[in-house]
Amino acid sequence: MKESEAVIERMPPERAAWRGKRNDNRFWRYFRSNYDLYLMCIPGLAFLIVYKFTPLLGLSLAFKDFNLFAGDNIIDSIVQSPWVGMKHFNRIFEDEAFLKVIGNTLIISLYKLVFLFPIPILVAISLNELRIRWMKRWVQTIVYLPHFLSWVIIFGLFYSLFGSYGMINKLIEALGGHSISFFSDSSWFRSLLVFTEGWKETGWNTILFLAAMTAIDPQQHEAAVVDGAGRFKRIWHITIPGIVPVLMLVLVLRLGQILNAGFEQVLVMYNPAVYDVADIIQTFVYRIGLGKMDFSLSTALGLFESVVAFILVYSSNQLSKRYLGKSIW
Amino acid sequence: MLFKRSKWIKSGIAGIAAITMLAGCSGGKEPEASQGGTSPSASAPASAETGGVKPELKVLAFNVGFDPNNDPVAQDIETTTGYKVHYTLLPKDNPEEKLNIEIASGSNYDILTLNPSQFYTLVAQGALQPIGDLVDQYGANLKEGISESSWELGRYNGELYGIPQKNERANIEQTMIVRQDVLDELGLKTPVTLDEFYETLKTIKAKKPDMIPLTGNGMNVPMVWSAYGLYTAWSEVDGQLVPRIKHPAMKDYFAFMKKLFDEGLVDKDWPINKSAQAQEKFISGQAAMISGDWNLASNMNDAFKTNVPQGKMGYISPLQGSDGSAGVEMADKLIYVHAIPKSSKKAEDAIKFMDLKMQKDNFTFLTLGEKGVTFNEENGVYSPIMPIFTEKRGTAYFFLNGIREVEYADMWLARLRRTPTLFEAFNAINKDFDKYAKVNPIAFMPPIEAVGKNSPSLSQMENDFFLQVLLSGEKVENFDKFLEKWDSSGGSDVIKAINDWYSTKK
Amino acid sequence: MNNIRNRSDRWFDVVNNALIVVIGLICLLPFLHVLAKSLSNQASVMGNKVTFYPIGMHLEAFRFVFAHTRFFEALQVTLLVTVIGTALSLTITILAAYPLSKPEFKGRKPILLLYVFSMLFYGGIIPGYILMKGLGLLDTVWAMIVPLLVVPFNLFVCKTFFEGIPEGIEESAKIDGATNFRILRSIVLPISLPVVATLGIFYAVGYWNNYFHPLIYISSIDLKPLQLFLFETIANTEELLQEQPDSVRLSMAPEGFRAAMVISSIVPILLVYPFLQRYFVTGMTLGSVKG
Repeated sequence: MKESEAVIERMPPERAAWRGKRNDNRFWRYFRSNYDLYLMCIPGLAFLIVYKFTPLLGLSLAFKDFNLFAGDNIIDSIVQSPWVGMKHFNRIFEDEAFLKVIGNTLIISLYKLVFLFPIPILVAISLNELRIRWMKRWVQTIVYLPHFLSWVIIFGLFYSLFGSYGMINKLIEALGGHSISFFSDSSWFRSLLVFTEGWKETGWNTILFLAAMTAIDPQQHEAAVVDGAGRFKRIWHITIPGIVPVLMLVLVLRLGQILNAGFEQVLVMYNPAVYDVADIIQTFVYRIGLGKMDFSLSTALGLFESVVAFILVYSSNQLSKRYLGKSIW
Repeated sequence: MLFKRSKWIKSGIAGIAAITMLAGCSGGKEPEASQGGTSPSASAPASAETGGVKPELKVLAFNVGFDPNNDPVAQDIETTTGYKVHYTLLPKDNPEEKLNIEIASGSNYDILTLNPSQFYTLVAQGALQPIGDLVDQYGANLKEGISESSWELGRYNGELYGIPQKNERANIEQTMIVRQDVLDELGLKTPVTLDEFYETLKTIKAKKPDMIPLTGNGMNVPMVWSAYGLYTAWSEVDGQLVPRIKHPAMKDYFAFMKKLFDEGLVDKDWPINKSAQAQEKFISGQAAMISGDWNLASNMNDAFKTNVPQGKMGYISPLQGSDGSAGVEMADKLIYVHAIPKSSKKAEDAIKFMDLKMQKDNFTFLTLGEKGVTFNEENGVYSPIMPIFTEKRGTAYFFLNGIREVEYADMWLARLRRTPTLFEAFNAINKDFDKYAKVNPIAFMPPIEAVGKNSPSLSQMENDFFLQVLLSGEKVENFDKFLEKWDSSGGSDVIKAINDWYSTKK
Repeated sequence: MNNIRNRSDRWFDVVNNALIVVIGLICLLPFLHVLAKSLSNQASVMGNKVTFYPIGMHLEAFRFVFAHTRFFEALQVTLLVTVIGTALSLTITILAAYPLSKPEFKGRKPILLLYVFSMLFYGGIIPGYILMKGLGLLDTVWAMIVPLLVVPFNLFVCKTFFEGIPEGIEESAKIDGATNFRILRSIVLPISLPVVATLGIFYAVGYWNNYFHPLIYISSIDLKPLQLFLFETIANTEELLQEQPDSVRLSMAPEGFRAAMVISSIVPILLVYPFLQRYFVTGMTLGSVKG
């Protein structure tokens, strides 16, 4: 700033005033020489504002008693529906089951995070190190397949494997053990949830990590080999650090999703016998609101989840920034 | 190295073009249109209205697997009534969401075909227009075909809002499907009392340890309910209407089922089963009994016969309680209501349209077709001529906007006769109709908001509690506590609303 | 690179290969089970006798699906939506991510926070419906494309990859007077093929499997995309079958039908993926540009 101030001082008054307004400002200088960057932002931002942000006004429904037919049309109905403050939130929070349900949600989510976050990374490394080309291609495609099956199908599949009369139990009994009701036993059900999700999504989740690994400069590996580093050393010192940015991105965003324990999955797979361990926030609210068409309730729940998610994402990003120097923004 | 991306796009497009061409070539457009659609012969419809151009009507209805807009029945309807109709289907999954949004945003439909709970929701929120006057004026045929007690089902606060459509014929649907061949093999007779039923299960378990004596899912076993007097969803106890869950004998039912479960007489996975899993067990021969209706019996039959060649399906009638009485709720209820949204400007035409379809000859034509061509009738017995009946009138059920209750009860049997096993099952289960059929006192209750709003979640609660008891997580002793929770979750509102209505009936 | 292989390397390979085989089998076998079911006759399927190979195999299930339902129409809709959508999404996402990957870009943090916010907050079904109605997009192909145009997660992934590109490469181009746009197009993109391919897959699969938006926004039967069509036909299977002559009915069970449809919807993805696999090869990126 000092430099330009000096320059301005030496100028005739009119020009100085003019130049001061434009060149003094770092932003405008940057903008002028990089205006095409700002042009590039436009489509994305337009989409954001039109499609993502205008509907956010609908979040007000969380604080109203929404009656779809209160007005002459839907927009009018939103306006006409009465304000009720925190009523819907209280309904969820004050239910005695709520604490239990939040607990389940967090436990299941963390359980999944601890086990299912590292595994795709390990599998990706494994695939990456595969030397046999054709095997690499084939297995890659194969591991993606489960991702495409719906939970309904997967339930049927695992029912025939883990049901009381299923293959696994037949095996257990053949070995002299007692059959286990995986689906209705509180001590097994959560593991079943984690296992089935792992089966479904691990392969798919390797895509991102594999892509990141291919972006690592091969010369680094070459140099390491020349220096005599073995596989493990190379994985540890080159591959893994190379994917750290993506890893942190996924981790932070995943942490933000902590209240999302897998609604669709749980809804399909759970049963009243395991409510005490598997009833999560969303399934619980689903049952309360069954058949009631209570948009306000579901909006309130969604808002609650969003706020928590935002807080978590923000905090974990700050932690990442402080201790690892990596930040999403 | 430049434009690698466009190369990728080009090859991608080429690939996709190839696939699309393949799709186009190998029989993409198909026979739906070619299924007849010949105009009816002179003898069939009463009168195709002429004179004046009739507006197109838009119908919103439940989901089906065919396209109603390209259907032979739809074409015949158009010719017969003179009205062109466009059909839109709700989604299969969670249709209420879409229904409510569409209606609230003023989408222009003229006729809504709704199930009772959808009707209750919309009418309570003021989304429908009253049609009483229009029906009086233009609905002569409708009034002829639909009985007064049925009309009550379409009224809300005294005003008529919908054309009620009852189920085709009062009948018994529920039964217990059993492996007759297994009973014969073990020298067992079909159980008639609850104790005999219990003994039968025990014998099957003892003599055939690899079989599951009884499989199922959910809370309902109507044949066993019968032994406890739990015939109908609501019953009168001391002058008040009481829901099944609060019937004094319900606790005993829970205890009985728990006993069966603990003794291994029942599928261990009962609490986890969805209906598909339970059915699979019967079909594969693993289970000896399953609770179900005649529809289920027929649907399972083909696969069952193939998997278990020596298998034979038998049916257990409602079991007798200690005093020898037995019964089961008969199906005599509202299944659809045809209503007109407030926003429609063609209400008069809509009523006229539905009325035309109810005219006696039109009705016969549109539901059964032409006598001698698609169906035959002799002494009040209607039978289909296959396969043309299915080709031309297979989908007719979708297009009904109300039935002529008296005539259709017999006409409908023609539809059942299309599938012999279906008809057999129906007859077997209904042979003692007079003996067992019980009337549900709220069968003809009009929509009440408190009831419609709370019933689904209350049912879910009951179902959950039952399954928890089965798995011994819950104690039967906690039944009373459960009932308290039931009450406070809307149950007491429902009881009050229903009894308020009931007192006006007496 | 491959000639120095000491013992630990070889052990590693053996164990690694074995591990990969196990993983592959775990994923493949259950899948084969679903495939077998779709090719088996009704009795075996409903009797739960099918394991990994078809019993009483015949293609009746597939033939029925292709001939008697709107399968191909629905497929065409989905193809259209997927191709257009993916192309648009990739363009917008890459364009949006590039500026955000430059640390000195002014306005970076607020814009990024906007995207984060949009990722976490959702207005609800009703506002979405009102918006679509207001934009006149209800019951059009665009109703299935617009909602998925930009997936913030994908944008963040793209940005992360761009950030990983050494500055030197872009710097030298800048000095030569190239515009940012030129740099993006001619230098950054060619070396970012792994991420472009990855995003392409993510978006394409997202469009292909999308079921929620068509459910709410689409009413015309002609515009129903594949996934929605599949779901509804499966749910209506029994009834659909009842309409058919005995010969068809006896050869299929709802379960088999379901399996058939699942397979039909995956095959196209399986066809396209091999196309993209070649972008997942190491050395595509920086090495090729250095010279």
